[in-house]
Amino acid sequence: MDKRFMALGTSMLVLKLLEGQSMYGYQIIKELEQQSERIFCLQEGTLYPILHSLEQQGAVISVIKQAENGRSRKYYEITTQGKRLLREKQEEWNVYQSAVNRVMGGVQFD
Amino acid sequence: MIKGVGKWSHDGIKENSPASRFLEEVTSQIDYKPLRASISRELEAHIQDRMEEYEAQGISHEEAQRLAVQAMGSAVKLGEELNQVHQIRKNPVLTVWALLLLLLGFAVSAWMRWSPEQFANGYWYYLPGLLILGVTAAVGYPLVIRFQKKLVWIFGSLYGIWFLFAEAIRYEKWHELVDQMFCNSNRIFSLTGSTHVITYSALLLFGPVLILFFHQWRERGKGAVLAVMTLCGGVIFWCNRRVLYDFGLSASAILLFCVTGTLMFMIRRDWIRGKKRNMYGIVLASFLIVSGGLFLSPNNQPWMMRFFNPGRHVISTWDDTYNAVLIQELLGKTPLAGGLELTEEELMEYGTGAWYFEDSNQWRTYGIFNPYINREDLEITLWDILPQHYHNNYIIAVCILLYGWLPGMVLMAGIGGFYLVMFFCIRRIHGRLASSMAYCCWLCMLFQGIFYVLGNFGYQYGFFSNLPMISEGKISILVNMIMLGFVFSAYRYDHVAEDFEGAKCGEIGVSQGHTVF
Repeated sequence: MDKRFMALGTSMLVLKLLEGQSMYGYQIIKELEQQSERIFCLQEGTLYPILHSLEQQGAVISVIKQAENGRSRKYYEITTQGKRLLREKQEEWNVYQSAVNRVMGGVQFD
Repeated sequence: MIKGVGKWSHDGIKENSPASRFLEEVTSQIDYKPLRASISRELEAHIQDRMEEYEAQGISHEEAQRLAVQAMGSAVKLGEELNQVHQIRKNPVLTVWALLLLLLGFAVSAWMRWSPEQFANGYWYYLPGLLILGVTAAVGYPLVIRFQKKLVWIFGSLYGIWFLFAEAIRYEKWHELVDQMFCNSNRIFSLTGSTHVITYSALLLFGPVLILFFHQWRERGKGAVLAVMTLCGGVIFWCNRRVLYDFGLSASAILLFCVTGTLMFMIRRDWIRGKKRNMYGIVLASFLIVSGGLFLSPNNQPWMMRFFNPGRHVISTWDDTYNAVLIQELLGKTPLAGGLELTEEELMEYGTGAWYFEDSNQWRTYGIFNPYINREDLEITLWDILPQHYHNNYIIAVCILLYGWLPGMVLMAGIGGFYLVMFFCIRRIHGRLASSMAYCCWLCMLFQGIFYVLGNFGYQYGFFSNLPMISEGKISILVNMIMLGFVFSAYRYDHVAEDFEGAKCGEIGVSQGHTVF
């Protein structure tokens, strides 16, 4: 897949997951794997530049919480700006998806 | 690691293990070294989580670590991508623009000094001003986020000392002593005339300081908003009643506008807990109460009258209200290009004030104070009749009168463009503390400029304001350089410095931008 749309897709999926609840990096990877039935198996490191980039755009904020086992984890939380960005990305994705469908599905007659 | 912020606990990863080598390789790609530890700890927590999962499947510790590291992908690529995200930013356009305006300000101050009415050594202050700008731009924001809790105490104490000091110098002996120590106008770096200058500057800097206070209290939502507006109003009323009187009116108004504006900005960005509508209501109500007391109190009402109708309050040619009337009269006659041309007779009329006073009421005689120009003067030039004192408070008006409206408009466009570039620069800052403090600094400089420009068109409120960088006093250039430096610094470090936001139960900290350890 085109790298730009790959990045668009990943950040959109990350924001979508965070819309439901705040999560830490590993949890996001696991959720992606689980919800996509292991279709989205990222190289785990690639998630962090995306998360940090979203944080810089003000789309997410991070919270450091201590887990029961005493380990500290950095949770990411979606912001209002992030929700707005998610809607924009979804629209962009819909345009891309319908364009692909049009080409792959051939000419459609009403 | 930033002290007091808390730290990640980590276990299980030994030195020289595949995981630690991976983390070292990732972080060695990060240019901004203070950020390396926090990135390393976040990735380390991830690897440990993955290892735990593998170990739960019965895989050995060593193999689990190898697989966990392998799952992370290329260390170099990850490090490079993270480094790309976390870059120190430069803003050459804003830098060049600021330096050009500073150069203009320095040149104008040095030039003004040679005119007979000017005796201030203000232009020397541009040198330490530049130094302060450089230092603040280089380390300002990282220092603020690193020591923000301590800074709250330090600034709180300093303002407390200022309060005691200002109350003490109301007693004559103390005042004389302070004047002797700091206010000898023969010294190059003296504080001419009055300790009011310090108080005026302290009032301007109080805006960003209040935003720093607010940042610490923001979890309290409307309580924090009320506390900040109360402090702002309290300081304004105290200053105007006890310390500065008319001298501090414009600074008080600037403080009120910039604190209110910044809180509105933060509410708009959803950075303050609570319903937006309620928060706007609280800020607006507080603003109306404080501004009502500031602008409409019996003591201050006459200044509003002078602002709207300066002509009714002129007593002599040395009044600021007279300057306002003179400016409005002369600007109306100035052509688009080429400057104002007057006959010798007109020059004499304007120079002596006779054009205004002769037909006025008897008490408004220019004989009360000597006019700047005497009728015996033989050669009066346009320069002589320009606003009678402190030419550097009327740089824009003087520019229009000497060279015409077009050069004046170009000057104003240059200044306006600078504020616009700075605004767009601040819009690109995402860290909450960085963005809100930079916005407050910008508003403070902007409103100084607005008051200054209004004064240059004959609408002066209270005492003279400064035009940051171009028409400065002495301490004011230092104050404005701190604020401008902070804007540069906040923009520069926004992507690398960590804006720690405190912790609640079970949490170590919340960050906007990046988390710090």
